[in-house]
Amino acid sequence: MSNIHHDSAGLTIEHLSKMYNRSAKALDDLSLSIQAGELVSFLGPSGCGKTTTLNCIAGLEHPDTGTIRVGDFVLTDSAKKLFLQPEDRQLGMVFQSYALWPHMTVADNVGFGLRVAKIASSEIKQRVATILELVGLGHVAERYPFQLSGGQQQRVALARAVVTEPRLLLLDEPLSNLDAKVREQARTWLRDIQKRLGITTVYVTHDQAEALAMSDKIAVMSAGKLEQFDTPQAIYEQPATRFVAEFIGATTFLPATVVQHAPTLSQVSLSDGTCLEVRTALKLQQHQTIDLGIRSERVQVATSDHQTNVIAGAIRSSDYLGAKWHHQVETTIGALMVETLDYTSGNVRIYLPPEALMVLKAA
Amino acid sequence: MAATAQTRPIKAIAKAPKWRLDRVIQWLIALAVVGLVLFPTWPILYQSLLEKPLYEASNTLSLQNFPRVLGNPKIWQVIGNTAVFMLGSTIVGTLIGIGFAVLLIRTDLPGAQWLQKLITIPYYVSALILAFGWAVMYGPQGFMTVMVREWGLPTWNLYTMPGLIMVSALYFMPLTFMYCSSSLSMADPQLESAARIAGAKPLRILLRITIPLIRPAMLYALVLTMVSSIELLSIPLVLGESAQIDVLSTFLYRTALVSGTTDYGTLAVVAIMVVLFISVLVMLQNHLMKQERRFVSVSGKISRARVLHLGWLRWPLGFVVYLFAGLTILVPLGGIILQAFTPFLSALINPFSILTMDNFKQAFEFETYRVAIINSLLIAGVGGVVATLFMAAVALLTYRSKFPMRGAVKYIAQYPRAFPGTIIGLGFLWALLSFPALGGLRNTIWILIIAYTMRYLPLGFSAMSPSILQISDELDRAARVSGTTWLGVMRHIMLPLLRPALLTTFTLLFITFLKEYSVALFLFTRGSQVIGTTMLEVWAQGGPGPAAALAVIQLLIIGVVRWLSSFIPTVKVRE
Repeated sequence: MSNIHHDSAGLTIEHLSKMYNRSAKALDDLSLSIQAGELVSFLGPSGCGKTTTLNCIAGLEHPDTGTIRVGDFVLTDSAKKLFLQPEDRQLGMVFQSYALWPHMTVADNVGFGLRVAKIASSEIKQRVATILELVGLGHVAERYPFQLSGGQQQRVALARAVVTEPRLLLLDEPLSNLDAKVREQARTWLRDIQKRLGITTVYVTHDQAEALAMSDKIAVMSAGKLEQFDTPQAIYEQPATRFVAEFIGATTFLPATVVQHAPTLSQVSLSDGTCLEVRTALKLQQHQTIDLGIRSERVQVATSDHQTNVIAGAIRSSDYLGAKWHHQVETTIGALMVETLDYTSGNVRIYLPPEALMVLKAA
Repeated sequence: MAATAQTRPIKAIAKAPKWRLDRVIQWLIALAVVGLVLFPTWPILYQSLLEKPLYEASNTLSLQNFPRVLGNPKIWQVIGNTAVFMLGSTIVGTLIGIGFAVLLIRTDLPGAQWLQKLITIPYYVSALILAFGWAVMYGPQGFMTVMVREWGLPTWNLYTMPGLIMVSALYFMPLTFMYCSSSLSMADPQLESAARIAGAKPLRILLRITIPLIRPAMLYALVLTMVSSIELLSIPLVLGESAQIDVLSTFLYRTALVSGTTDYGTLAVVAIMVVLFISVLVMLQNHLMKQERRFVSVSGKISRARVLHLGWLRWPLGFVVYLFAGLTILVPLGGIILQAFTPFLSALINPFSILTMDNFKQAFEFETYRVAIINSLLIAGVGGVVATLFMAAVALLTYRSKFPMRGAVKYIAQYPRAFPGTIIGLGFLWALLSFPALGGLRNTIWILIIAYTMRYLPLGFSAMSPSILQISDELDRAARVSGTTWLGVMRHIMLPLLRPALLTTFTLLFITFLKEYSVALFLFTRGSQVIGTTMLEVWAQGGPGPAAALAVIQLLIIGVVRWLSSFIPTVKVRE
């Protein structure tokens, strides 16, 4: 199977806004740009505006203001009162329910967009066969959607979305209807196909693990605003806001005041006077109040080597999660979530590594 | 496998077109709805403000019609009659319906399934035919009346207000029965089990839990029956004529068509009063509909209803119920059929000794009758198709488009619910009178098809809506993103998926159009008569035989269509 190459273009969104009613903003001045061939996830809780963004790109919803372009191809531009209908945008989309038309066979479903584009039937036949081979479903072409498993339906939906060689691929929580086991396979498979096709892809999900595993970049959204737009690593390790830190991973927050700032190791003090060392690239002012965040898996049980950043505590409750233990630890600075590989109980000393403490602006 | 790179030709779209075919079509549908509803309604509003008939040139606007009509004692007498008729037939009809529902769904009455089929028959039979059947069997010279008189027993007079109420109540009863029985079989059985656990006996559960649970369905059916009883023309017309009992519907008909009056102002004011009153009832109905969803615990699954055992009462009660259903449903229907096959029907002569096909021969030989049958079939068939497609378009516009005024269109499409057939007929008649250019329509069946479509727009709309709402809108969106216009989505996705719903709606409209005559009474001319209008004419000229033959032909057509419709697949769309 040779790779299929396309001239792929990036997506640019500028100042996109949409009101739901007179008071509620569904989208609040969203701007970002996606490079050609990238897969970008829009991640956030329900109602954060990620699906609205996707629908605005697809033309299924009408933004109040803003522009959306793929390369030089303008999809919508409120200043010029330009709004292309969904059918004129030449996009591919996979829906949460897959939205396979129940009265058409798999081949008819996949070939629909080509028929609408008035492509010769011999070519349609060949392209449908090619794409069904690509998704590994050549043998079910003549079946009807309800005769397929969930995973197969999802692959038909993908085949239908990409067979027209669209400018963009839009994925609306395409894996959320699959069983946990199938979902992980589908994740890898989907990413593989996307890379092979080299198609610029927008992926909407509320599942952080999915977003972290699949994306070139993640756009974290909350209440219609873009909280952070960066690579998965940066999102996880250097969350820009408390919301991002809270939404991704299990994080404990500690309010603190800056005692002394240094380029490598800064000193901060917590509310009870405990002093901690923090390693951060951010410039901090003396006496500035900040939030410190720490992931539960980065908290360690202290050994005798640890001199600083050690806090005494007592384990209040423990949950067994199979691969690890998850503890609620009561300390002088408040409750902390801690993960260990082995069972631990009673009084413990906790080590908070300076590089694991994330500095966030106080809320 | 080698895949060659085939980039699709990318159309250079500089800007979106100024107008799209989609929008044009959507506007046309919306305007058609508005036009259809306004066409017969504005003449009535306008006429109510005019002193002379609306087709006269020198006319002045005034409000004097209103006080004049309200000061007319004859009008008040008609309103009084209507009130008695409405309340009587509603109360009796609803009570019988509830009784049947509880007996058939929640007790072990013998043969409940058969009885269920039997008592819904009046719903499928035209009220006109039912009225004929009653007149033939229970009228002053009716078969049963004479038979009882021969036995030396006291008899009754059907042509009185109680007689009208009785026959109408039996015609409306299936409505209540169907609403209540479906509500009864859908109610969550756990609610009754809970009462059982709490120590209640079955009869107590029935009275304290089961029946209160279906109260919304009962109330809804009650209001629906009230509306229907005001609209009903046939039973008061056939049975109330000799006793001169006038209700609003017969008053409108007689004043407008029989008396040759030019007092159009009175007619318009009375029509407006009726529409306003029904509007209030319809609003109440909508309100109840919303409440019903909140009230009844519909679990979706059909429960294995806990049955109340009747014990020793089972057979005696069964006998009484069968006797009642037989006398009130089978006897009148059997009567009309016997009448169709005999030159005269009398208890004094064994009808089976004088069987004849003469009435049917007449029906097919006489030009008038034959044309009426053909017209009815054309209106039901062709008109049914046209109306089904139009109603589907309206429902799709309101539920499946982004047309800016779709909410208003939906509201307007529902509005004919407040208009009885007589008033719609009157409205179309006046509209034709005031647009002489449209006079050509008057002599065709097309004006009937248009008027029927207007009258039953709400019916078709609500028959279509659930199926449309059941189809996930992601299917539309997926097709739009795949490159289809709104029209393309409707053609390639929605209409194919709605095929069963379209067929069901067509069947419903076919039967309804076949039975409809109250609108046609105002609009038909020689050559555009239908079965209903012809039956009434023939009946009035003292020929029950041919009228009965026409009735039997209509029943036969309805029966065949109902039988065919049972083959319509009801499978739901699987996704």
